Amino acid sequence: MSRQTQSEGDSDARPATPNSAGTVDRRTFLASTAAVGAVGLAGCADDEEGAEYNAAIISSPAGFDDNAFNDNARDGLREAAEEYDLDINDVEETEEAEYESVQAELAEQDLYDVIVMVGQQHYDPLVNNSETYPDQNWMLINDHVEGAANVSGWIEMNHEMSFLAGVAAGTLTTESIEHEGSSTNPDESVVGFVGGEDIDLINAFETSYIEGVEWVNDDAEVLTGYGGSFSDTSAANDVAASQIDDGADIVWHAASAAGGGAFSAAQSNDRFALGVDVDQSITEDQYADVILGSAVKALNEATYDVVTAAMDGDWGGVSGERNLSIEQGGIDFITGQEFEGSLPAALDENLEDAKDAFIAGEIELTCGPTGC
Amino acid sequence: MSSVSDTDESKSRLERIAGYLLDATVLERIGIAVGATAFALLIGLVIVALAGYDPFRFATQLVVGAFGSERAIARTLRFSTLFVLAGLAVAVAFRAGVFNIGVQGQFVVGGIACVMSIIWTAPYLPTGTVGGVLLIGIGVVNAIVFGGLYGALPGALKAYAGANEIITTIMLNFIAIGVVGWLVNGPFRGEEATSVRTEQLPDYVAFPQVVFSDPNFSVVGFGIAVLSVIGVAFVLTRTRYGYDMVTSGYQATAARFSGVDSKQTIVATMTLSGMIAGLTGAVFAIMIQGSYTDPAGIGNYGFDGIAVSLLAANNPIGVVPAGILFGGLESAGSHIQIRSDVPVQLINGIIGLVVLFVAVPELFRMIGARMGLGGDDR
Amino acid sequence: MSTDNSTAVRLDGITKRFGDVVANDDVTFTLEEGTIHALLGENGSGKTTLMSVLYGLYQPTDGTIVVDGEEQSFASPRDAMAAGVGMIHQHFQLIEPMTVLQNVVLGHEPTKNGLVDEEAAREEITQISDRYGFDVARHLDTPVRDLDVGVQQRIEIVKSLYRGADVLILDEPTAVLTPQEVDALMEVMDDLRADGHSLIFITHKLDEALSAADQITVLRDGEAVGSVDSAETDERGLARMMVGREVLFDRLEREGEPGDPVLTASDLRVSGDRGVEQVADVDLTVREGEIFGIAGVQGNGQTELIEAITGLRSIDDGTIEFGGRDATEMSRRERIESGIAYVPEDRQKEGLVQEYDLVRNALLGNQTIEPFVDGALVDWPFVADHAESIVEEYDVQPPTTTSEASSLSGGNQQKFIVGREIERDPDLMVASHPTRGVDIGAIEFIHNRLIELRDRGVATLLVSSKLEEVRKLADRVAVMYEGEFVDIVDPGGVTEEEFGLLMTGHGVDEEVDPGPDLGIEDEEVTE
Repeated sequence: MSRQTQSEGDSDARPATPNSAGTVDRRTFLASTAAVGAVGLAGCADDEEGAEYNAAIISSPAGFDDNAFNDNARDGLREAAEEYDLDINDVEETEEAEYESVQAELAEQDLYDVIVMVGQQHYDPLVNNSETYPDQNWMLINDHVEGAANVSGWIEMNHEMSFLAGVAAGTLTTESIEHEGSSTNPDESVVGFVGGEDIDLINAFETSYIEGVEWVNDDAEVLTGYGGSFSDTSAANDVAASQIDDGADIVWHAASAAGGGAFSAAQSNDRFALGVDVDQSITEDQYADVILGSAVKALNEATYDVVTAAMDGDWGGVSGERNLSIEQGGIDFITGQEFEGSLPAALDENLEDAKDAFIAGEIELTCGPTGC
Repeated sequence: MSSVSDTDESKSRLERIAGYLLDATVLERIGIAVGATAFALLIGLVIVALAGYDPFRFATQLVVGAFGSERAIARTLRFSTLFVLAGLAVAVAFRAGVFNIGVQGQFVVGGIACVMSIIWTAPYLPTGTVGGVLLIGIGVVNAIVFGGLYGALPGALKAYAGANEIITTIMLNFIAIGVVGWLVNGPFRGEEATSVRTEQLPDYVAFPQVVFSDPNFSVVGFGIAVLSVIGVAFVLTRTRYGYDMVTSGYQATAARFSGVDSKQTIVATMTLSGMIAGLTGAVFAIMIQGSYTDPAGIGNYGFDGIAVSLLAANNPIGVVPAGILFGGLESAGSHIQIRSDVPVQLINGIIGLVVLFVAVPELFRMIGARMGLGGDDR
Repeated sequence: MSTDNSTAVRLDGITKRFGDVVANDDVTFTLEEGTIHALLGENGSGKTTLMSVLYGLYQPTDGTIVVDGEEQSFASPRDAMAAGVGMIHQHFQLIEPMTVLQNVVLGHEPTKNGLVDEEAAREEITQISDRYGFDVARHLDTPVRDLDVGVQQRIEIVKSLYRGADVLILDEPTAVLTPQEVDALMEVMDDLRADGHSLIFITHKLDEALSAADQITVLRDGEAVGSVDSAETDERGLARMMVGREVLFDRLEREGEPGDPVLTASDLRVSGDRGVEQVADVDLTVREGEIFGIAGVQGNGQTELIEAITGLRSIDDGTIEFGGRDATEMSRRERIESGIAYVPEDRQKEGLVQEYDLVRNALLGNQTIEPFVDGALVDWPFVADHAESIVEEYDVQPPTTTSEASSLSGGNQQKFIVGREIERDPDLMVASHPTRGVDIGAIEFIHNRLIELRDRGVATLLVSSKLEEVRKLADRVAVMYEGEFVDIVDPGGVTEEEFGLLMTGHGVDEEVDPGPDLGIEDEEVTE
């Protein structure tokens, strides 16, 4: 997924560890010095002034290196930078209260073809800033600003993604799968859901997932639980392990960086798990042997499209409210690296049916993309 | 005051008082702080160079980012306002020998009290400037009251139940963050809010934009911080209540000897500290946020205040330069993060070095004093 | 006195500076082998510093140390111990929860096969103990905190002997002992001398130096004033050397009669910090113009009694009446405001804030009293003037109010406290050990001030472990033992010996068991 760019070689050289994500506290001294060491080893070059195009990306409060949301958004820019003379300025800001001034400061530089903001927490400040800086192009992920032509607002159809994960889980739990010691139990249809924090957004994930499972498998039982955190892997591990104890053979998580705990629970209990947002059999490759597949949203494709449109002078083609959806092609379910070609055909069939049904408008979900 | 007729005499008295307020050890401490900061930054520059970045450019950006433009100065003062206030809240408690680690929690409680009281009373008051001033007054008073109560709680637990205030205040931080986090996501969540937050404060509830034009900073906020410092310094040095508190901090046995009720003083100290923390929360909510969000994602001003206070040797006046130093570093960090490739972790590491060099020795000194370590006299 | 000519210790031209302060200035001191040499001087005269140099705690700025004919340079007490020098500190260096055996062998454990050979240690300690008639052996497995002060002191001595000390430095060893225990200590010192040990005995008590030592060296202001044979001098001569002038020691006769009762305490019961009853059913009355003395060995309830009266400690039972009002429930502050002054037992912890200058210390206790404060505001100029007048009137040195309290010597700290408390113009003065650790000049000064106060009609409650002080000042003396008043006597009619008996709980006419091990608890509990 991640690709090198000239100006950002350092960040990619850092090892991807599942626990390193989450909020980076300002002045977390030890962590920072560790980072200093890592940067020192990478020994990268100073920034080069004067690229033809410039883009900036401001992180969500979770920060970069989450192997998911933020990195996924940034990857689209990096892909674009491979083809264009594009410099990317990634600004990690974990404090919500700072967004207004960080946005303004970037806009004032009058440099960026587009400023990408990850997370709906950017919405309120952007309402002001999009008006104050009308000539600046903005891309907002997870919300849109009504009537602002300079904002390309992207709403991820998380509920659609969760539904697909449910379809996959509901299908696979009835099949007999064995891989490196792990196996399903085709006699029973029990699957698990591990949430991060118990908030509206994740509740929508949960409900849509259950609806997906039931759409394909009426008899299936869905065990659900919350670890209470997006960064505490051990809490997610506990929840997943207890679901597996209770008979779940496949667990899906919506716990951001804490999701690694769900994978490790599957791995140590010889069951399987599903990834979220990106192909987690790559980003969490130590668990590739238990990740059957991942429900993904191609945020990188969205950021790629927006930044290239901005560079090509085609802003009108991306401005306004945009959906990252099954219909648009940005949401899908992909098979894990170690299971390509080996999963039952029923999976693909059911997924295709589900996607067709969405496109045809035959499926109505209880919840929306960010809540019910 | 006293019945002095001779002006010369009163002048010499004033000089005498000034003399013992600013004795050599204070100057020494300032010298140590400046030296340590410079040394820490020097080491930071070496690390920057080792990491492959241009240290001279980094140093320049450090200055430019803190004071190089009107925007930079406004940003520095914005951070400084909060650091000064939070540092003051900590300093009051530390000076009186009470380790209030709960400023963050009191700051959060004060902030939400401010926002909700404004939102709830706004419909009953006129809009516009008059309403704005009234609402700010209501919000600030509520923030002070609730912050004070939230500080008084661990104070009372310490005084009357013997509960270690370090532990209780840390626990109360978690409780405040958890409960307020639940409130802003549940009962207090704004109806039109797309992210987790309360309703927005009305537009007219804002500090006026004087001198600087910055959506998140007003000189009024900084003025509140400075006035608070002056007020606290006055209370501590010129009133008998302050004398009781400070004496308790220096030598609890002597305070008891002099008739200070140590239990009342602990509660009073924690209350005052919590009140200032609550005020910090109000300034943060009104000046910067304009609503209240999940406190788990709000800056750790209450903890930063500990470092600020230690840097100032817990002197309320010293909190101003210490807060501005931290504000400048934070502001420069923000600038460098936006304007250069130096990663945020490296910048924060260098700020951490300054804290380590400047504040930690004072922390050890205090812990030593509290545990009765150190040599006997003679 | 031994006439053995070999020298155990010779300190030659020792100078020790702490920054600008000269603690020892070119001091020469010789300890002959097998003798007891007293080091006499006021507090702050440099006695302890000099011995700390010998014991390796400090390195001298200048000068040489010769032990057993060899020049030594001690980097630490470990080196000094290796050379046979041991020191028994004023504050015992014992670890309270550990047993006597563990304390003695700590750091010098005999080992067998890599393990502590407890039997060997036990045997050796018993041997040492028996040799000098100590009753330490039977306490070997008792935690130190359960033993009384006299025994603890002997453990310290055994510890030094166990480590092979030939030269023993005893730093103010009699400060915490009863007269009987002092006698027992003197015998121990004699035995040690007879056994060939050489002893240095630090004291500021003239009589002890005279009775115990063969030679006496007097220090004043860090300089050695001179060394004399104890047989060739007397108290007055030594006092002159110590303070540079004659000092009067006689009891002062009073004029006038005491008036009405000012303080009446009835059936007072008070517990100590550990919840154990320390004051048991005490009645006392102090009248106008009277000094009521309380004598006794420290730790017999005096501290608790005084704290109960001054409002620093709650009482379990009884009543306190002050100036005709019921004061039982009054807070400390109310008692201050109603006219009780208090010179506390621990001047460093209670009487002064060490890091405050004298101006801020002058406000201590006066925080609610006009004109020191006007409402909530402190009238600092007034306080500063007040501090200055205390410094002037009470001869506090150096005569400046801007120095930190901690920079003053003990005597000057005490003069300041006494001044501050007297200037409160009290109806009742409670003075606890007002001259403890204070030099002779200051003692006299403080005594005179207390007498002046008495003559002005103030009631005074005086606690002191110094008999001569109580006898000199008090009109009536209660002797306290284990929380009770053994007797209330006219100090003029009782001899020092009789006082000593009372202080150990015996009536004047009783037969006394002169055993050295009398129950005394160390009650110096610090918070």
